[in-house]
Amino acid sequence: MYALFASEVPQVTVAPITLFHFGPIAITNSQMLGFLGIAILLAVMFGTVRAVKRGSRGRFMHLIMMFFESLYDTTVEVIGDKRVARKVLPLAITLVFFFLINNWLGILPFVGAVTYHGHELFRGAAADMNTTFALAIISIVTAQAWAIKRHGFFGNIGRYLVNPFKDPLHSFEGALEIVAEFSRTLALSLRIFGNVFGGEVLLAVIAYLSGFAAFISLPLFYVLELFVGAVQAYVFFMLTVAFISLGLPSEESSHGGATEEKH
Amino acid sequence: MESLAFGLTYAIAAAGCGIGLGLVGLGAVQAAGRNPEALGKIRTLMILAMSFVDALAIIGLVVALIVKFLK
Repeated sequence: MYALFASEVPQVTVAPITLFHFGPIAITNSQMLGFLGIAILLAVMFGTVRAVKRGSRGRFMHLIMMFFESLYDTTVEVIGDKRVARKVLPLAITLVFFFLINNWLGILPFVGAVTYHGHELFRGAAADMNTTFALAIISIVTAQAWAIKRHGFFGNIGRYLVNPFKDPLHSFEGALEIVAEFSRTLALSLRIFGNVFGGEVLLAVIAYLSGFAAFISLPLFYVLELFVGAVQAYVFFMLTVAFISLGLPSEESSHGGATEEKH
Repeated sequence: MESLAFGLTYAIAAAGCGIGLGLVGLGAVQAAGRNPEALGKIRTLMILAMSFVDALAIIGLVVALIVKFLK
């Protein structure tokens, strides 16, 4: 009787499961939820655009517009230059909406319950290291591209490699910056992966431990996971914008170099 | 021994992050005490900083899980 009501012993799989092959490309269950999230996001966003153009604004449209505007204001505040901020915005805001909708979809009950040939059909998109690492690489490369656009190709290299005989301190700082770029990429991807994957494991373990009392304890942790998912999406956005703004020279210091990295 | 390693991997990470979270909370409370009008801004910054510190503990947890379940 107890075994009927108690949930199963949680099965932890770190890597996503390959469901089927689409030509040479393997489709995993994380990608399935990612595609679902993108489809929902596109529908919501096109719906909002159409509603705004028609002039009819419901409560939901207002909510999305408010969220969008607050993100816009944050980006302009961090980058400082409104013209540059408007060009950075599409990537940054897409990232935050993508992670937000996928983190929230990932904790819905149908994830893990729906199976396909004995495997789970869905799995949180950010609970797959491949997704988060790819997006972290995209944001770091974008930051480098902006730095190259501002400083020029050799100017950008000059931010990292400084002549040690002229300026020993900044040369050491520049060498540290090279390591920092790689550790930033890793930390950026691990942060959101760890939070989402850890959240899934936490929910499974709580459901297993509480047994009959799961209906009391689980909603509390679901609220926590909703909060964590939203905060981590915002943190990813914030860090992407901050990395881009690091590569852009500020107005008061005109000379390029590692000094701009200090804040 | 393996269970001990699993526990310690998370415990050491969590110990450091506990200190870090305490410092963040301390700073936020002190700032709110000095300038109660800026409570809204301080709360946002505090949650942001806390999520940075939190991430390290959770990375520790994930590393522990990977070591335990991927042999």
